[in-house]
Amino acid sequence: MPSPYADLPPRAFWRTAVAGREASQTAGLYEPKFSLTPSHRILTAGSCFAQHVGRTLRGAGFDVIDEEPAPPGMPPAMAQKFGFGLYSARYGNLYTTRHLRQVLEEVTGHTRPADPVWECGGRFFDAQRPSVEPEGMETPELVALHRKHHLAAVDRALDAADVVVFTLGLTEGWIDAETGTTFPTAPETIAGRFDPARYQFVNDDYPQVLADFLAARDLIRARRPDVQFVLTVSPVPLTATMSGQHVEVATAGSKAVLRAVAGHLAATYADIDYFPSYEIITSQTAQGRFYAANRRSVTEDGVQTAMACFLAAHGAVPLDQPVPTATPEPDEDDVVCEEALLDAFRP
Amino acid sequence: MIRALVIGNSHAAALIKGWQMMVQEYSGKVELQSFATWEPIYRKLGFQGMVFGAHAATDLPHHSLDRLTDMNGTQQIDLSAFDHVLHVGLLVPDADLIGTAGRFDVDGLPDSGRANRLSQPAFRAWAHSFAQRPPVRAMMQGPWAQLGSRLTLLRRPRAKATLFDAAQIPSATIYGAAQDLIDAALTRSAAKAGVRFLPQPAESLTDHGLSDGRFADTAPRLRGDKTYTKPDLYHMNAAYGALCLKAWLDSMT
Repeated sequence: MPSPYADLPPRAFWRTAVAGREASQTAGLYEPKFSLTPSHRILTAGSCFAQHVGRTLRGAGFDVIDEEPAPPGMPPAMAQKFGFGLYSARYGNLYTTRHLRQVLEEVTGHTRPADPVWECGGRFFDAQRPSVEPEGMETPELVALHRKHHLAAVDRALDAADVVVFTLGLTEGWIDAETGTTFPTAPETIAGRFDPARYQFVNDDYPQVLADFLAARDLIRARRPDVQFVLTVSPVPLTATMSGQHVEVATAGSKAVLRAVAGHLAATYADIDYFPSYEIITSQTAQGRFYAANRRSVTEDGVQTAMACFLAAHGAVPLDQPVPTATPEPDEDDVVCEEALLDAFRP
Repeated sequence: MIRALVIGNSHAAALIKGWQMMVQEYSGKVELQSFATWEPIYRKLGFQGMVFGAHAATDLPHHSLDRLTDMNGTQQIDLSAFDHVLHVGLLVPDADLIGTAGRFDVDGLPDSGRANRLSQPAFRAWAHSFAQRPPVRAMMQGPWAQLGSRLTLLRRPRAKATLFDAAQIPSATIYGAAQDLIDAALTRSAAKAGVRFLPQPAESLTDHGLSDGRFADTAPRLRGDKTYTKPDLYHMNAAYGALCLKAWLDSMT
């Protein structure tokens, strides 16, 4: 009997598929389960790397849902600062599957987040998306009014979605200890007041991440039974960890959990695909060149390489052509990433 | 005697006609000259030193150059020869303002129950960004800015109140509030550049901040004695021009 490896294609072997490959050569790394077409209405969400995904898809002519558009004429950088155009609604970054699930449960009336308004300097912020109004608002009532509008926008976006593209970003987060309400940032990072008796650090494990995503999927499928999912894992490392580990070890642990969950989901469910942007950026073939000098931000070259692979696999643009973008790609440090604000607390 | 120049696009016509209503009042104090043409021609004119107009490299067909001469008796004007220059018709893109006023609610302003909502910080930031747009920036740098405080900028008038009907009061209010913010931002930008900004006279505005129709009837055209007869949102009449000129001249005399 020949070895079961004997008939495998070159892509199955490290020497032929990786050792001699240039980092920019991504052909064969991704074979979509299903094709995206311009007729699909796409909802995007996730950690800050997902902003690149949405922008690239829009630039390539895909129909990315935007239920909370910027006012006409607002400059792109300003729109981004206010959370417009980053995703299909102004939910800001949803770093964890726990947060994705919570937003969907709030939209569908299954939950009502505790501690909804945070204060800073006499201004008031939506604790669930504190970065989208950088100056905050005058009153808590205005925050509540905007949240109501926002949830209605998410509701419309969900009703329209044929495909959900979600980037899993973090496992670490902060919750209200009594209710389990999760927050995208620790209190006091942007607003709010940190009370160790009230807020609790969590580092979601594999079962938790998986359960939260499956619950989120159920909520979306309840209204869009034929919806399909494309998962990616953010290659952006943690800015800081509360795990007690070295941040590099903590990052590897978090990403391993997220990658394993994404792999399991894609292997198990026909409606879930996995796009390996994480592998493209972190690949040994890149030798770190897809990371900026801070070794954390993904470079424009890295984003282009990953997204070119995605678009080519979906027949949107040939692999050797530059990736079109809907709006000028901001500098890597300009991607809205609340998690990066933790850097301000380093010694 | 102050040597003053009104320069600009078709919106200068209201001021040129308005001057005829007030020339006696300023007789012996102000000598006013004008240099104006239609926007498509005006935007192609440029500087050589402080001489503004059509130069050898100006990309304009003969018939446009002929019209420039026809309207002004010359194709160029030396701005350094004037004590004060009023640039009329600075274009702030109104389509974006109207689009926002028609589709968004804004905190603190009348509500229409729309799906899109802007906070006051977002609304202010958006409105202020109009003062950074290329047509505005161009007037606050280069040869124009070299005129310093001798240069005053007057915007194209706000849209007429007929833009919105009685059922669209919230939209009208948002439009007017945005224009107020833009004017404030333009005032600050102009001061920073060392030039001056003349806001649209309050007497010519409705309560909602749009142009009052009383100042829009029989808006003159640049050529001859024709007036705008087709529906026109922005061109104003000689009475409006006189208001603007008075505000400008009184600020310098």
